[in-house]
Amino acid sequence: MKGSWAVCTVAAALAAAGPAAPAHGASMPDWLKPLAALATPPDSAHAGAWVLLHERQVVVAPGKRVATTERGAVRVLEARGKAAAACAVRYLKRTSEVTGLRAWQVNPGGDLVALGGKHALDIALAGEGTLATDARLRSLMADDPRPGTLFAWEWTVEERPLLAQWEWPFQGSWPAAVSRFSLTLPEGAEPEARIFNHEPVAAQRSGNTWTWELRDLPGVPVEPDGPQVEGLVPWLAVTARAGTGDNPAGAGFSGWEEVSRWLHEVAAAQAAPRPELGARAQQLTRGLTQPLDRIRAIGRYVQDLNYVHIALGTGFGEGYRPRPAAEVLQTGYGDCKDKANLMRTLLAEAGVEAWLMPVYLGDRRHVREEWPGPAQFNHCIVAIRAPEGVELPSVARETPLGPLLVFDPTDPHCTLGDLPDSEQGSLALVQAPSRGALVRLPVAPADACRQERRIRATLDGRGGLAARLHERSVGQPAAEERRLLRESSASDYRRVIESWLAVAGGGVQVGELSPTDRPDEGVFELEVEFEAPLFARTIGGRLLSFRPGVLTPRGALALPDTLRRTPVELHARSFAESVTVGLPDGWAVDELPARVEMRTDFGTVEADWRAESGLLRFHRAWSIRPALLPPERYGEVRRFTAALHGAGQAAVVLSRR
Amino acid sequence: MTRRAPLGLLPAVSFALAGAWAIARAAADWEPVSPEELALAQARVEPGADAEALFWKVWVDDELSSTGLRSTREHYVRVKVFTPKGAGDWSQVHITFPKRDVRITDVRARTIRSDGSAVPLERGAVFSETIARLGGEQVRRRSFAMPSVAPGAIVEYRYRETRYDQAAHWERFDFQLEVPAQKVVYYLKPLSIPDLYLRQMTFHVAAVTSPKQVDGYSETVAANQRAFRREPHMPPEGQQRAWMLLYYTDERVGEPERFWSQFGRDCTKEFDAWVRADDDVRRLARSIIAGAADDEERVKRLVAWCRREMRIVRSYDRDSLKAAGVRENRNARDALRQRAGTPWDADRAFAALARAAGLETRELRVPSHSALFFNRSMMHGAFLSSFQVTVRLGGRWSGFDPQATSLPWDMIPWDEEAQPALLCDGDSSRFIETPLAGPERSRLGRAATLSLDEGGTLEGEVRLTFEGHCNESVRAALQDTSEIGLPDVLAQEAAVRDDEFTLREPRVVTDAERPGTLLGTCRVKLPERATPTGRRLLLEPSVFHARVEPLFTAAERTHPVYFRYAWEERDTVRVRLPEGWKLETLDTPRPVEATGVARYQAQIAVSDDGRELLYLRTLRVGENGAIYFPVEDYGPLRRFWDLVHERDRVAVTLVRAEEQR
Repeated sequence: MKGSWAVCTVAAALAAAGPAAPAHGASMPDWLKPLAALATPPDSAHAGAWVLLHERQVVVAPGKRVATTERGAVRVLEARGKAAAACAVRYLKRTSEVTGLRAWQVNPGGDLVALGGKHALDIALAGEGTLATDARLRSLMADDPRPGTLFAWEWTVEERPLLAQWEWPFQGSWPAAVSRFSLTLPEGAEPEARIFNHEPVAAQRSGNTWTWELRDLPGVPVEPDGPQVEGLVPWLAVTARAGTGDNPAGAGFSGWEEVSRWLHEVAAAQAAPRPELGARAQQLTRGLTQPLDRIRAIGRYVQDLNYVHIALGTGFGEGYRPRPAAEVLQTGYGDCKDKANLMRTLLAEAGVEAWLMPVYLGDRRHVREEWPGPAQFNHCIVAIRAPEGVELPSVARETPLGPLLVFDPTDPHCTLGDLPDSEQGSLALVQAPSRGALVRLPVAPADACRQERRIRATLDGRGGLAARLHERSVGQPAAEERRLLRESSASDYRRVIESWLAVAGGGVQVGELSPTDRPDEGVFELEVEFEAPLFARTIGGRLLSFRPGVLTPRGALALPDTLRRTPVELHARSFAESVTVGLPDGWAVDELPARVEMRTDFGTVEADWRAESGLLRFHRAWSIRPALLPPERYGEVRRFTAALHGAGQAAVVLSRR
Repeated sequence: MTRRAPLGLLPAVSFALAGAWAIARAAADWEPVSPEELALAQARVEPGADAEALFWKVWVDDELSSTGLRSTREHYVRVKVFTPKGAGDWSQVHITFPKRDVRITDVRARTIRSDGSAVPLERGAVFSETIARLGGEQVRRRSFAMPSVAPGAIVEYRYRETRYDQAAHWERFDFQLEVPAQKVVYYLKPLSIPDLYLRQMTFHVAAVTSPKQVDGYSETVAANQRAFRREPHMPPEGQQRAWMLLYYTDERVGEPERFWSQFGRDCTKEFDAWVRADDDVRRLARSIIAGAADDEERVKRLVAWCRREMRIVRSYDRDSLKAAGVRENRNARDALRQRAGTPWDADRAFAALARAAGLETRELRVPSHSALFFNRSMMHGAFLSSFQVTVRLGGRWSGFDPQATSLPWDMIPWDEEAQPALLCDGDSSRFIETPLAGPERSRLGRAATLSLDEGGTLEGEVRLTFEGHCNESVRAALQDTSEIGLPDVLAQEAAVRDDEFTLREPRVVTDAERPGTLLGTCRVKLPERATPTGRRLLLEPSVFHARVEPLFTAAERTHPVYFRYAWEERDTVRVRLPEGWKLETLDTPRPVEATGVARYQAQIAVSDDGRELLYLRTLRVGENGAIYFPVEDYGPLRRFWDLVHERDRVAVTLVRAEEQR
């Protein structure tokens, strides 16, 4: 069935089988000798690994043949830096060729081991849902690198690229001493470069070679609830421009409209109308008079098609070309661009105008307006001309094509009007023959990502609780609940709920469990009846304590108490909970936690506990606005999340009357 | 000592079968689809399942011809899809195989829509690629996407798998798959060689083998097989899943008594030759045991010597030995001369020394219960893939395993405990039961010295001690994750899991005086561990457990509960109270006991000056060897753990000193 496991499992099995024995006592290349002598800087003491050199040289030869050579050297400083002692080259089967992949491992005792192509592990980059792919990765890894080990490598890839554009992240998460990128162009051509996440750096020119270099880059740790490291480190974006005539390598772009047009031309023929497409559109929208209902019906249909990714011919531009809509309809499967293309074709048949919309999935700040090019995207969704009067959170208003209702038909759990968190706020391209433009996708307000919970319960004198819980989720929380329900068997779903409710103490018995999914309304509801016989604790025989807010929402933000070095990313969420507990006869409230209230520019949290006529009422609400907060504000965010979780841990104390 | 012999390969084989699924005899047509199959609206074996195999058939045909040995498997699978998840799961098929000796051919597939119309897999829709290559080895994959798969559809596909230079020997075939199945059928056509028999062993399934052969194939069928699901703390998968083992043998079906007697005789012959001592070995043995008071002391010294002096390379691969600078040993004399070798060599070197020291010594062949529980009707030597050296001490045979360096000298690995092991002898081989170490031999000690502040945060140092099997297990985890995962391993083993938990400066300390013990220290910060309630602070002194979810949360249980070994936990927590605060109430939790199985006890006390709280907790599990609990015992067992969980949430209340006055 799903295939991604195969690559890792099999690669591990092959690695265990072991390649040819490496050559001990080899000699190191001249370029490595001075690096091997470098002393480790004192401030990298806790870095795990230190990159001594990472450089890439791109040489564009006449005839658009491009040779890319990379060299690198890294020293392992701590055991956790072992993974850095490896190199990998990504290439495309059929259109590129890897030559000269070599590596050297210098162990702390000075023993030098040379590794070559016969030691390389070569795998297909087949992710979840990929049926076949041209993308491959060839790698060499150090053998049990201990702290002090130096690992160096070089490789060359020759290809004829589709685009005359290159990206160079100057570092990963480890600190780097020297990182450089150089580009050699044919006579008359010039590069146009931009650096992101860093001050501008002037290129050093020598003949037809331009070089950009950064030194002494501090490490960028991987931290929870933050942007990807790739989005934080300095990176270079270069486009080659011909002086006259044809571009020196593949395509280069001077503006987004040009990118849009180029992509449109690649894909346009795949949306050709066919009778079966018209018939299916008609069948799906029969009896639906409201445009939004027609869009929703078609969207649901496309979402339900199976995800199958066939990544062949990427080096020839097929990665930008969806399969014909009629073929996707007939086979009933496709990848993101196939689904988006089928949806816009069916919409066209139903009289609704729509466009393909490339976007980057994974980091909403990844796409940079200053560097027009299709390689910035890794996903494809649909932009639909918004019907008159539609007010949904996923409508982008300020676009050259008017208000656009944006929808991701590849995400089977996200309903019309909502977008996955990582797409919200990102830049996406409307792919159109004219007036195509980069568009900022809307960010849903906290109220559109809401979960409300109501619990009615009674407590007995021995601490047992009998409760009925009702939860209503909309937006992304609803998508998360839907995902859990749809991707679990009925018994597994019950077990997940049992495990979640176990925070209410041992022996929890779940009775009636009724999840109700209403995707057309974007709503998910859950009704659970449960008993927690060991819910409250007796203290000293005369006190009884319990935590009315102990059921934290599944997936609530929790941040560790560490020194933060990267920004914190907050997604819009809001939550409201009301808990009413009938108190046991003979017991009265002795103590209630103090009211919690906290207001910041990124969110609010409040909780209060009240006792009235034999009942304990607990109310809690929080709201988080989407924000990217600098590491200096980590303490504030921590206090906020501590207040949020603290309200859940706060205990009510009862005493015997 | 453990050698992962053929049984170790079983999961991989099973995965290839269960994951690569599919198909049928290439020459045959599709079997007719019945109206009942088309109309089926929900799974019959497991109502509510996303998909169900209507049948799953494999024809296994072993042949020896002039071109060599060949095993052909023709797979034919028909699956009914009920839900969108089932449709997604069955929309792609991947068949993964090693390129060197397996070919996949004749792939055909089709989807039958709920209206009965069939959508065939188009020519050219089957993709082949190398998914991994290393040196001369390649792993290939054939993949195809099933067309038009939606709830209500039937997916069926077939392919031929040809394995060269192989037969269905020592191979596992699953009856229980990842989906429920109405019928799983294996058709077997063994090699036709005089005096060579294909033996079938079925486990945990009432499979029926037809006595009649059709076209030379015998048929083994299992009906109504539920999907296999995993649960926490379950016995090994091979012990729970329904499966069949096939192997060839030249022995006719015989009595276990006779089989094991012969096996023991063969082992003894080989063992005796290997451990034969010469003068050097005898001299060495004498020097090691010189001055020892008794046989037990002699064994202890020999084990210690082997562990100290012999370099053990944990691999049987010739290249790995060479890379480590170790020559292959042909006998114990070689091993003792170079003082290096494999784990097997180390144990046998010990045996040679023990014999040379005049101790009565035998080889003990032991099953490992990490994959399957052995019984002696499983007549194949590979089931006894591990071995120990047994020495007669005080009139009793005791097993030793010097290569198991993370255990005390007189303990054996957890997966070899409480097993029927074959005491090999020239003429009187017999099974004896290996011992199960009591909980006190595998202790996990946690000691915390913490300070509490008024905001409820606990901070201080934690010291962890792992002994016996706890040490064996954490060492294995550390080997797997290397030092990178140390904080995780420490946190997990210390059961201090908590979203807000912070662990700093984790260190593993090796105590040379206690080789079977691992000590780890770290600093921890546990925010909000005491809850302000207004006037009071509510503190849960069981800091390692109070916020951990109960061990068993599911109401229903499919598999028995199984703990790998008996163990004991001892926690000592000292909490310095915040300035100006005093204890208001203090309850000592009542003990919990599952008589003869497990015990829990906790005590709370306060220092004389009222400034420090002392919490002591002891949990013993697996008394009297009780580490396996059938499903019907799940309720009481869960109840025990629920009560432990409840006692672990015990709270004391603190108030400001002036308020209490």
